[in-house]
Amino acid sequence: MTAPVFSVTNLSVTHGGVSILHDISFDLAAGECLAIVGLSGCGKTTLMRALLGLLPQSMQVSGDLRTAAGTVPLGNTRVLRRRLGREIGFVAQNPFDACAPLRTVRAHIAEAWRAHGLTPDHKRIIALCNRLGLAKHMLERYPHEWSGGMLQRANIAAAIALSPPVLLADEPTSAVDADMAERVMSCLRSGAPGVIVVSHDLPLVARCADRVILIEDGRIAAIAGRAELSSGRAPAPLYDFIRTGQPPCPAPPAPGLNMLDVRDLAIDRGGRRLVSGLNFALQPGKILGVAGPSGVGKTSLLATLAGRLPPAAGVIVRGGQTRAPRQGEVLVLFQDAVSSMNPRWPVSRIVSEPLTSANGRQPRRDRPDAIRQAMGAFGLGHINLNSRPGALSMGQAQRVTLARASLAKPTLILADEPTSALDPRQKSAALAGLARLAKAGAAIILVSHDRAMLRDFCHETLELRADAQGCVNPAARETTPASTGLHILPETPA
Amino acid sequence: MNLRRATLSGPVAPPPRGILAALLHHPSGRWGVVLGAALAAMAVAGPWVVAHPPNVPDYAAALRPPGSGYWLGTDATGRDQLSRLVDGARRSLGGALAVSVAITLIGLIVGTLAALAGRWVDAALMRFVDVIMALPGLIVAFAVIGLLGPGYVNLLIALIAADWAYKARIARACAFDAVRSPAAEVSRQFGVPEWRVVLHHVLPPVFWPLLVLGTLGLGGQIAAISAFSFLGLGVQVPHAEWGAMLADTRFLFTVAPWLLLGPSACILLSVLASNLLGEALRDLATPEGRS
Repeated sequence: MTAPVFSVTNLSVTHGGVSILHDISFDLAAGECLAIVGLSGCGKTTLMRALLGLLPQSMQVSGDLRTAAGTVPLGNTRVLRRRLGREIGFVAQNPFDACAPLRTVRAHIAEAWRAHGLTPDHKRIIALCNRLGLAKHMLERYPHEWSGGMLQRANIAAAIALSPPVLLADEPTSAVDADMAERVMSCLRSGAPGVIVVSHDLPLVARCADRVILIEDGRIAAIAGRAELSSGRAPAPLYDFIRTGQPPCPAPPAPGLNMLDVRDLAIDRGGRRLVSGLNFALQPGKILGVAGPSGVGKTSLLATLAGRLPPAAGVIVRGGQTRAPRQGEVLVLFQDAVSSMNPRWPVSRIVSEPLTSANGRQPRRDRPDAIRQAMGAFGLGHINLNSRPGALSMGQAQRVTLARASLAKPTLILADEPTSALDPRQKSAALAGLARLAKAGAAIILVSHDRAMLRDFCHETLELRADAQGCVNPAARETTPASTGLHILPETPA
Repeated sequence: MNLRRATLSGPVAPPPRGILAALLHHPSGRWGVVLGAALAAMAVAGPWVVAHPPNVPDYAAALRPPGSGYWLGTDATGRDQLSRLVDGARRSLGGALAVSVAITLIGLIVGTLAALAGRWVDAALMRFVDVIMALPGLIVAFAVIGLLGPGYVNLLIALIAADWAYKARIARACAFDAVRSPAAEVSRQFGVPEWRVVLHHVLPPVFWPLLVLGTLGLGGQIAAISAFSFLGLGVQVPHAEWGAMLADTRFLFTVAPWLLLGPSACILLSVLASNLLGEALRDLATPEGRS
């Protein structure tokens, strides 16, 4: 291994007497890609912000950072920040948050020079775009006209504009479509001689990182090289970490009546036919995954099944009748669980709301028991029932909505990317919650970009595909003749 | 996210329960409560405590400087300045409070109704609000006083007429979002009756911003009541009101400057109290702000 270009020694961060990071030391060799992985709240974002000198003043930071330009104490944020851009490039998690919405992307990239009082080198901007596969004419467009994956690559261009020897990236792919994640990672890899990536998606980063550091509770729990990881010789905590992300396998659906039967469904949105010739049936306990690229009509399909968007053609049969859904029959689970709860209510009141509705009404004195039971069933028994949604982690929040759903007893649950913001452990806990709801007799439609998860977790997967006209291709019936416009992949639960 | 949780999980005192406890916990809210309580106590209990009647002239004691017997001196007709200040507090503070409560309620009802009804009700109500907002508030207030004639109650009506439209506009915007929020959406999916969805998920996010604005606006209402009374369009003689007291005594500034001190200090302090309280309520209006 060559001499390190970036080395951190004894980094510790405390806040109000609580230790957040404890004695972190690592080196980055020239040309190396280092991945830092861990669950939410393990301290990986704090680590990244400490290296950038962006932690709030109230946190005490100790330790040193050594680069080619010399050694800096990590507590000295003023000196650290001067080094950003020239010696350390940074790629933020959400590319849309990172760009000013009122300025063109070219202005955003040029800012890399202006921040240091330099004149932007437009030839280099073009060269960077060519290298990262970005179209030149897009530079004059505003961030909202870009796709997440493209914009993240523009952010990488801004980060490497001044050719820093080290590039730091905080969850660079979590806000990007799964199809684009690999491309973003390879751009990162080729962007700078040394790269440090923080992520909770170990399988993704393990494919391009030379070394992986696992952080647990603010400490380094394991370090492994790529060869060790693939040959099975890496420390055990890393394999435990991978296993925590594996979805549970749900029970097979109950044989019997179809509670939902969709025949020749077509959906129009804004005068455009999004979906046509869609056929599928759901039994109680069945979990159907829906995948497809952005804009193909996944959300419109959910809106139609929820009865909020009338179908353009075809019928939806519910329990043997062609009718609109009854109140309390269909339940939508949102990606952002926190916003689907009343922020002013304590958790106990949020969970018990279904018990106040006309069809699920329960006397007030029975509610505390029902709440405790539901919370316990979804692994939330330790949560203070008086806490507000803002105090919950994303994973806890999503499970609170599942506990609430279990009290509502809907027959059909429509889940729109319910796990995309969660770390591996939270994700598998949320999926276990969904499986529990399915076992209780609900049919579930799970929309996600994460094909691997759908394959492992769902009984069946529905692939929505758009042809040139923006319709699901009616000719794509090569796999299952019974379905038109899509193919249903029968899946044996792993 | 990690940072936020880290700052939450430290050995920090748990957030106080209840809005008054939270206000007392808040750095500026504390002083707002103290100041507001002092002014309110003066308005409520003051008239029974002071020694002299506020409206009875005593020409033998005209223009006395502050001293024993008359702590803040007397005005040109020998009325005790302190008694008049305390008596005027009821009109200044009570009037401002009444105006603020009224415009908040009207705004809440009109705005929420517009957002809930939608379609032509929404359009009609909001175009009417647009018309009112197109006119300067001062003109509306003058027009109403011109119609009804000067007087304290008519002044309050005029101030309400001039100000409710802004609150309705804000309430409508908040209600529009709240009606469509995922929390309300989920509640409907459970089969919770619509009136309860409105009560639980629509009204609170509308009420809190209005409460904050209403509190911040209290100072402005006090100043407006004082200003109109100063112009002679509000409280009429012989009744005391802070602005009217300033108007009555401004010609005596060279002879008896102390007469200006009391009313202006009271106006200043009540505007300050309302700003401090409003600022604190703004921080506490969101559940995140309270933790």
